[in-house]
Amino acid sequence: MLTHLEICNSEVTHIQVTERLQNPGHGGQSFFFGVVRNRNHGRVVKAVTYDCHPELSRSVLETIILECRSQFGENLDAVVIHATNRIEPGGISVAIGVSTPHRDEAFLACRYIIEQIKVRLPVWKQEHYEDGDSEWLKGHELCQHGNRKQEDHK
Amino acid sequence: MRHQSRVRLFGKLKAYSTQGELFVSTLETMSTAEFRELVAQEIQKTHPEFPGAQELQSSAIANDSRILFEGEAIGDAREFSLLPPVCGG
Repeated sequence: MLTHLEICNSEVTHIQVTERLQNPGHGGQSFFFGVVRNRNHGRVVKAVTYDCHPELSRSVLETIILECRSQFGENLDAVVIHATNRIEPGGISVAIGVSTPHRDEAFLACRYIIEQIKVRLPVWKQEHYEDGDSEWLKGHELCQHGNRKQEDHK
Repeated sequence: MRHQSRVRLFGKLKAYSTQGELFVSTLETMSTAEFRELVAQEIQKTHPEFPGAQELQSSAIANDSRILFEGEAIGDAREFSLLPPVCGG
């Protein structure tokens, strides 16, 4: 049972994820790569800076993987790598790889992980625009539900 | 008993600190709302334009191991984090 969780200081590469999933008992692998877009809400994006709380992020990711195993199979292997710092369009900011004995669980678990990352991982995005302006993107509040999620899985 | 606590700021809040952190004198019985008020006052010392605690209302507070419940006492941790709404991925 493999779990590899990483917060890295630069953009992620495909191989960082694919090379880690090598389970001969697993017949399904699913991957998701989140890539920085060059436009958002009609503005040209030159780069995105990611800020992160590394210790809490690791803890949240561990919880998400535990939830995955409980829902999609205890023998699920998972690799999750999230980038921090400045990433230019085309760069991978988050990479997820899941392997399971059968394909259904791999698809579902991969989707579950990225959706949970979006609303629970303590990561923040600042977009830098062509005109020199920059803006922190609005996100999801952790105040009401974040703590309860963590408590529920202790 | 009061003690000095480090507060780590993230995302858009980093603009209100040097090195992404500031220090405040906390009481372990202080509520999360009182903690936000204290941090807002500390920020206003160097950034008088900062609107106040309402600007921190959407930010969760974490100690060194977990996110605190709204309304709970902050406890005796020496390090806290203010977490604005998140957008990972």
